[in-house]
Order: sequence, then structure tokens, then C-alpha cells
Amino acid sequence: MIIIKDLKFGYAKKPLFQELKLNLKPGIYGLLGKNGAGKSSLLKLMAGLLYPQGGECFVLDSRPRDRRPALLEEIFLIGEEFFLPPLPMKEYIRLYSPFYPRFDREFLEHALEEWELPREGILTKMSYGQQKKFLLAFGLAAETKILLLDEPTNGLDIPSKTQFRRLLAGHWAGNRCILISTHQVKDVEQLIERALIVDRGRIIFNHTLQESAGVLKTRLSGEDPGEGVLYREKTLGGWASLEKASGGPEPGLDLELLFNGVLSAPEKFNALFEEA
Amino acid sequence: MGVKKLSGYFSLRRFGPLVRLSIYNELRRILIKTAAAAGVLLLLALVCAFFEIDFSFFTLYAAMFIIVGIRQTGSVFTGYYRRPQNGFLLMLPASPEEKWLYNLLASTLGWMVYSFIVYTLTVFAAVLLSRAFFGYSLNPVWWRREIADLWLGYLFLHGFFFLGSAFFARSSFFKTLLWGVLLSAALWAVFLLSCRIFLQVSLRQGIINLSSGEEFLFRFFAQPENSKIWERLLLGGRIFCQAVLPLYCWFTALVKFREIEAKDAI
Repeated sequence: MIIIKDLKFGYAKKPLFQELKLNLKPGIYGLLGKNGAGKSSLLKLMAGLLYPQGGECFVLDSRPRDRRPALLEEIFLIGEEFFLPPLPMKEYIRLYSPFYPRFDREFLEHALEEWELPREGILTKMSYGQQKKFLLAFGLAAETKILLLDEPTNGLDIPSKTQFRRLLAGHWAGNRCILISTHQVKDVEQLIERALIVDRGRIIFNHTLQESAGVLKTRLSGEDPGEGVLYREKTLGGWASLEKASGGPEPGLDLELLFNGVLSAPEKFNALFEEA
Repeated sequence: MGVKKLSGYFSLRRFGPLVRLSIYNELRRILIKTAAAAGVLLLLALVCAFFEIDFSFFTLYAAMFIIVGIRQTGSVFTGYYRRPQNGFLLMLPASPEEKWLYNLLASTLGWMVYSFIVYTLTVFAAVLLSRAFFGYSLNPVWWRREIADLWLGYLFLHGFFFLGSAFFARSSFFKTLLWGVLLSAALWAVFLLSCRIFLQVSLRQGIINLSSGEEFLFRFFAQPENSKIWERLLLGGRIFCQAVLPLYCWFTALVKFREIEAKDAI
């Protein structure tokens, strides 16, 4: 669905990507990376809001930079920073939904109900969290083949995060590609099928969580497991470590620990996955 | 090019909703500005009626049409350079050509028709009110040829400010205005220098003669055998300013509009 070949992109004083390669099939992806790693820029490149300075980016066989309506109808991007016009919610739905051919009004009503969003009143007068929930509901209801979410759970309260996961999982159809860029790994851990870790302009990790659970396991212990483990970090009650899994996939792989581990030694982890 | 391929550039299925939502989004602003402009026109007309002064509706309409029109046009693409609004506007599922065309039509044809309707209704109200309250009948002008000339003249300025709006991310109207002034001054200087070089006229003499309109080039064109050249030059100048130049500016604006990226936003 999304093919990126040797993508080159950067800002005036900050080169970001050099020969970035990526091939995304339908699924729910978690895009992880440190601040400034280029997660949001990558989403914008896929949405056609930024233009590659080299290489190619294809989304559904089209170049996003052309901004052809056939592609725009199939991409919905919810940025961390977003805009809503000062319209009543009903008017927004009436005016903007015709642009998305498969717009699911029933689902939208259900999502608005779930999040207890007020139907009356101007969108811009709502709180940040309410605006975000409305936009997430609209984006899911738009039924686009590509859904790009940049920090979707920022600004949501704890019950709303749970509802978001429930709504997304309940509405998930296997033919869509959902890319979630986030720092709040715990919020989306249960949703993600595949983790992509971006660092220094490259994708340094691209594996499913199921694959990862077959290769790695998380261990919590009161004592320092020593340097023999793949990665370890101190926690409040002792130590959390990543170790090579023995036998079949083990449940409960900590995605945050995996992220930190891969960032500390990407080659070591990738070699382990290749070996497996 | 097949119909399917063409529909990737323009489709009424998208253009209709695009026009509807753009007008709806702008409605409040349009109504406030209309009320203000109509109020000023009405007030001035009534003051003139009270003092029984002959009031020229057309002059005031012409001034408002040009000033408000180019002010609006000069910032027609502003939203595409504002963060985070630009992401929202650029991602709207309509082609860049449709978005460009809406802005072009709204600021030319739309503005002409809309301003004329408001003007006509205001004149109508002013005439009725002046008769009812002061017993003085204002002389209304519903339609005259000068209005069509005014609209054609507006196209020249429109093209320039439309292009400026697509090019400048910040303070587009004022930057275009400054560019316009500088460009005019430069063209004038080139013209005077050309006169001096090619026609052997001193710079000072050139200014005096050109502004008086009696000698220099005009003396040449005043001769009957040369009058046709002058007419053709005028016609050529009009076609250039009211058709060629606006068309060039509009399409250059489209090229620039297609290139707007999220990183251009301020």
C-alpha cells in the first residue's frame, strides 16, 4: 500500500532521511522513534504534505505529492497539531463527509455516543480533548484505506484512550493500513501488529510483535541480571531485561523495553531476528 | 486524455461541495464586511440627501470594489500558509486545480456579481430612504458601461494580487503592494531612459512633455495619419493588461500553489 524507495528528505539545517526504504502492507503499524527522529515528517511525506527531495514515495500506486483527489479520498491524517473550522459539529459532518465516498455515518454516531461528545455547539469552542476525539471519530468513519495518526492519544483522558483502542479495533478492516506514530507506547501496545522504529534517518527495526515475541522475552527481576542479557534497565522495584526467547512465542513482551533495547544496539537485535 | 483522467483534475461531484463548504466557512466574515460596506454607502448617500448634494454612487462603488476586491484577493491563499490550517486545506480531497479555480472564480466573477447585488440593493434602499425622510431624490445609477470597464480594469490588478497571494507566505497583500509600487517605478524609469536614449529627449523634458500630453509622443500620434497606430497601441495595451497579464498571473499562481508544502507554513 505504501512503498518508499531511497527517500531523501530534510530541512534547511537538518537532514532527516537518506535512502529510506519502507514497504507497508495492510495492517496496524506503530511508528516509534526519539524526538526529532522524523516520525511526523514521514507521515507528512506519505500524506503529500511534504515533498521528497530524492527517491520515491508511492501510496496506493500514486505519488502523494501530486495531491490527486483519488488518493486524498483514501488518506486521512490526524496530526498532533490539528485544525478544525469554527463550525457546528453537524455542519462540519454535513459539509466534509461528502468528500469521503465510503463515509460511515452510523459508525460516527456510535463513536460520538461512546465518547459522549456534545452534538451542539461550535467545534472550536470544545476542549482540546473533545476536538481530538471528534476528529478521531471522523477519521475512522471516513473509512479511508490509509489512516495516519500522529500521537492520537495525546490530550485524551484514560477512559477515552481505552475507548479509542476499542473503537479502532472494532472498526478495523483487514484491507486498511493504519500507521500510529507515538511516544505513548503503552497506549497503543495492544493495537499494534508491527513496530517500526526510526532513528537517524533510517528504519532500524521492522518486525511484527508476534515475531518479536518469538525471538525476545521480557524478564522482571529483583536483582541485576548482568551483562549477559540483550538489554536491561533499572525499574522502581528492580530490573527489567530483554532476553532471547527459548521455545515458542511468549506473551507480555514490553514494547517500551523493546524500543529502548533496539535504540541502544540496533545491529545486535536485527542480527538476532535474522538468525531466528 | 480519458474522462477518468480528466476527472482527476476537475469534477463537479467535488467542486460543488468544495464551493459550498468554502462559502459556508467564509459566510460570517462575508456578511460582516458586506454590512459594513453597505452601511458606509448608505450613510454617505443619506448625508448627501440631507444636504441635497449630488451623490455619485458609482465613484464610491468603484473605490470599494477595487480596494476591498484586491485586499481580499491579496490574501486568498493565506490559509494554505498557516499552520495547522494548511494541512487541513491541502488534505481536503479536491484537486489543486479545483481549489485554485474556486479561489479564482470567487475573487473575480463571484466578487463582481456579489458586489453588484449589494450595491444595487444599497442604492435602492438609499433612494427610498432619502425620498421618505428628506423628500430629496438621489440620482441612482443601476448599470452603466463604466461598471463593465471597472470590472475589466480590476482583472489586471486581480492577476497581480492573486499571484502575490500564492507566492508570499507572510503579509502577502502588503508585499505584493510593495512589489507593485517598485515594479511600476522601475518600468517608468526604463520607459523614460528608453525615451532619452532612443528618442533623444532629455529625462526632464520627457517627464514634462509626457505629463502634459501635448507634445513629444502625443504630438506624433495626434497627426491623422498616425491616429490608427495610437488606437491599435491602446487596444493592444488593453488586451495585454486585461487578458494576457491576468492569464499569465493566474496560471503562474496555479504552478506555485501546487508546490506549497507543509514546511512553507508559518
